[in-house]
Formats: sequence, structure tokens, C-alpha cells
Amino acid sequence: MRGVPERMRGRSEGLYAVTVAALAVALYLVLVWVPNERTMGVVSRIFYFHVAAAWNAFLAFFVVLVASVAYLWRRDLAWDALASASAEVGVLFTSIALATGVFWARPVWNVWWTWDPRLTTTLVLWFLYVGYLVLRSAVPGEERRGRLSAVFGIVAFVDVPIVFFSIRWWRTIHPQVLAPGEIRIAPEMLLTLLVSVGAFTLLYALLCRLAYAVARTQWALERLKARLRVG
Amino acid sequence: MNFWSRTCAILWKDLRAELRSRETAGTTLVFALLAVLTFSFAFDPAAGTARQVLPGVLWVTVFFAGMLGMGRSMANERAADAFSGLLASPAEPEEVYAGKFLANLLFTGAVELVEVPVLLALFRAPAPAGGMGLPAVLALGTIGYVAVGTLLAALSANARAGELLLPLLLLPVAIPVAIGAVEATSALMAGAPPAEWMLWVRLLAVYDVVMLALPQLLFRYLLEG
Repeated sequence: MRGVPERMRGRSEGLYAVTVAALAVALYLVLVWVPNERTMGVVSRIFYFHVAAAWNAFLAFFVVLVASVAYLWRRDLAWDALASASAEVGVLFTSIALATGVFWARPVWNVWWTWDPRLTTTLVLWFLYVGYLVLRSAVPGEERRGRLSAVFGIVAFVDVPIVFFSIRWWRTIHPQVLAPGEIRIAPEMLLTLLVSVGAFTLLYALLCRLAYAVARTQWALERLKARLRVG
Repeated sequence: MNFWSRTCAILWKDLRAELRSRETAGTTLVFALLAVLTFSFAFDPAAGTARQVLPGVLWVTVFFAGMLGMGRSMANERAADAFSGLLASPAEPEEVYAGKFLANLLFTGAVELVEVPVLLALFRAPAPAGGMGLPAVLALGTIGYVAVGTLLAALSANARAGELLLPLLLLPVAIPVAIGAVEATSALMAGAPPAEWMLWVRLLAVYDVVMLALPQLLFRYLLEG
């Protein structure tokens, strides 16, 4: 246990370098290289960060689900630390997706907010996983915290598709950029989008690893404190 | 003793505790009626527009009253460490869940039985069309809400400040019920043909099945001590 933080730091350095490089390339492509979209103009550049953040938010919450199931099955607190780390980073990316969505909607749709299914589902996601983080902070004891938050992590994720379809039947106006079977997007824009999504995914992995290391360190600290109280 | 007799034993225990203390159902009912009263000041019932907000008022009131009742029911188990008693009893966790679910469903249903006619009368709504349509939608919506609410109430009863935590966890999870039940109720009250509300009835049915199945897998992890 004592060696974990140093080991994590060592392994993070390679990922850190790759992430910074990828983000620099993505920034160059998004802000300089890619042409403006014809009708939306410069605003269209928000799209590359918006999609990248939204995709990583879903990935993060899927990791929470997997780690929650794994925790209930194996009862290894490392899975719980992963669920906690991924939920924190997921809420961060959800916030970015919501903020960029709002800034994009204003000039393009002429409103700050629309009740479009994907945007609304993202808002519900934000509330679900903020609830998850509040739950974690309200449960004493690492074993019980792991158990209860794993149960909620599973319920929340199972709920998301039902939320999505119920909001979709309720109303829809989101642009279908990637319709099934065809890609209606210029090659430069597609490349920029893929690089941006890739860079954000690396950033997710890096932040998740750092949050995971923090969770493990806190866990080690709690144990040391407990041992001091006993001894 | 099989699944149903043990489930009914838990249900009977909750009903008897309620008959003795008269704590949950009475308080919840008064709360629901007060909420209806407050809403009738917020949306003037004499104005024609009030009928358009009626389905929303109905379900928001059911949601809040139901949440109070379910939170109370689990906090009672927590208070005297009755969870340990439930664990020591021959009932399996799934049977404890089923018994608590049925008790919560009965309490919430009883509140609706009084509250909905009062609401319709106060807002001078015409008797809803579609025969058993409104009771069916009420039942489907309430089953789904109470199914997931019972699970999440047991979860937050194990956390600090559980009564504060429950709404934070339950309301976002229950959004499909909020959408489906309100849309179906609106269509029924407008006298729309069944084709218009069957989609929402189907959504509620799917939600009910999922939220009744999940606790069968997950409830036992909440009772572990």
C-alpha cells in the first residue's frame, strides 16, 4: 500500500505527456486548421469540444457501472475507488458538455436552452451523478460506502436509456450529425472531431487515474489513522 | 412458509405498526392535501388554464407525498435498528423488499384515493374520459415510482441525513415516470383516443418491470449490516 502513490505517479508521467501533446494538436486543429462551417461560422468550432466532452461523460458513467458491478461481485475497494474517480471526472465532462451546449445553442438556435432529448438527458445525467457523489460523501465507512454507491451506480445507469427514450418521445430537435449509414460531415471536420474526441479520452484517462490515486491515498490515510487510534 | 407468506408477514408488520402509530399515512395525506391547496393558490382554479396544469399538479403532489411516506417507512426500520431484526428473521432480502414495497404502495394508493378526487373537484375538472384509463395510469405510475423509491429509501436510510438525500437520488431516477404519467394523464383528461396515450402506458409498464426487477438483484446488498 505504501508504494502505491509513487507507482501511480510514475505511470502517470507517460500518459501525462501523451495527453498534453494530443490536446495541443486538438487545439490547433479545432482553433486554426479546420474551416468554419458554412452557415454557423466560427461558432461551429465549439462542436468539437462539445462532442468530445459528451462522449467521455458517457464513457465515464459506463466505467462507474462496470466498477460498481465488479465491486459488489469481488468486494475489492480498488473497484470502488475507480467508480468514485470515474464519477467525479464524468460529472466534470458532463458540466463541460452542458456549458458548451448552452453557448452553442444561443447563436445557432437563438435560445440558451432547448428541451432536446440529448441535451436534456445530459442534464438528467448531471443530476444523477451529482446525487451519486453526494451519496458517497454521506455514507460513513468505506465498505458500506462502496456497497451503497455501487447499488446507486447500477440503478442510475440502467435508468439512463429509459430517460433518453422518454424525453425523445416528449420532443426532439437535435441535429443528426452522424445519421446511420452515412456521414454528412467534411473530411477535415471529421478528422478534427476524431482527434478532439481522442485527446479528451486521454484527458479522461489521466484525470481518472489521478482521482483514483487520490482515492487510494485517502483510503491508506484512513487506515493509518485507524491504526494510530488503536495503538 | 413460501415467498408470498413471508412477504405478507412483512407487509402485515408494516400495516400493524401504522395502525398503532397512525404516523405515516395520516401525515402524508394531510401533506398531500396541503400541497393541493397551495397549488390552487399558485394556479388560480377559476381560470380555464388551471386545467392544463392539473396533471402536473397531480403527479408532483403524488411524488412528494410518496417520498415522505417511503422515507419515513425506512427511517423507522433504521431508528430502533430494526434492520437487524429483519436480517435475523427467516425472510429473504427480496421478501423484505416485496413486503415494504407493497406497504408503501398501499399507503401511497390510499393517499391518492383521497387526494385525486379532491384535486379534481377543487380545479373543477370534468370527469376524465376513458373509463378505467385514469385509475390504470395512476396505478402504473405509482407502482414504478414506489418500486424504485422503496429501494432508494432503504439506500438513503443507511446514509447520514437520509431524508435530505432521498429526493436527490429519487427525483432524477423517476423522471421517466414524471414524463409518462403526466403525458398519459393529460391525454386522458383531454379525451384523446387511446392511440395517443398507449405509448406512455407502455413506457410506464416497461419502467415498472425494470424497477421491480432491479431490487430483486440489488436489495440484498443494502441489508448487509
